[in-house]
Amino acid sequence: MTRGDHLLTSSHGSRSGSAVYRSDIEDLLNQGKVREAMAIEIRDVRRAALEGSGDLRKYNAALKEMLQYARRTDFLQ
Amino acid sequence: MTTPTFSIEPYKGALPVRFGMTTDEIESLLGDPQRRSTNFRKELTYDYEAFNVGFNKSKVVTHVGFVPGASVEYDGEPVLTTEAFRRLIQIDGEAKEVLGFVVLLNLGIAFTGFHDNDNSQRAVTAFEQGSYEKLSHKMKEFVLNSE
Repeated sequence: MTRGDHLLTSSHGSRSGSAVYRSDIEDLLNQGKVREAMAIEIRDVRRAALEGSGDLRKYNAALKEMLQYARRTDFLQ
Repeated sequence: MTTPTFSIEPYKGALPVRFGMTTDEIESLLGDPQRRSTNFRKELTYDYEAFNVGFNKSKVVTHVGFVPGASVEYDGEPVLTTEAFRRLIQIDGEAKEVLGFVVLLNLGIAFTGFHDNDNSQRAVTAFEQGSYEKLSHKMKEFVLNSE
């Protein structure tokens, strides 16, 4: 991910509300809601890519690879 | 428009940016942002070179975030350094750690990327009163290592 896009993600430390965002993701993971947490993160990466680079699909290949890895390792069932 | 050196005043803002300012006031003060973005709560953020100004749903300033390259001070000293991180923890006296943030509630300042040497996360933020209230149950005391 480019630095410019990374700075726009909701979890980046410089962003307003980033601690609450991280907390919400942590709560979902602690509740076993991995799929929901990943869906939120994927939407957020796509939003950052759109706002930062004008390309909603910029990280689609990397996200696909992440999902394949998650399924392969039973992280995402 | 020249970017100012910002001065963090606890719970007042990063002067000349003050909490409670409107989008019009920020544009008048700092010029048009490089980008207008949103966070997960659909709250507006103005992104400038190496800093951002966050607004709440009523579109008044609640947050100013800085990354390396920004000129920001506390009490006349730069804050985006490891030395400043350590100094401000001492001044605050009650540093907390939560979710990768080191939060100085007495100073209204939060750091990321300094205590864990994560350069991609290095940032300093000035936040308004109550910003971390929701997370108080997750906070732990933060103790500086002796290095």
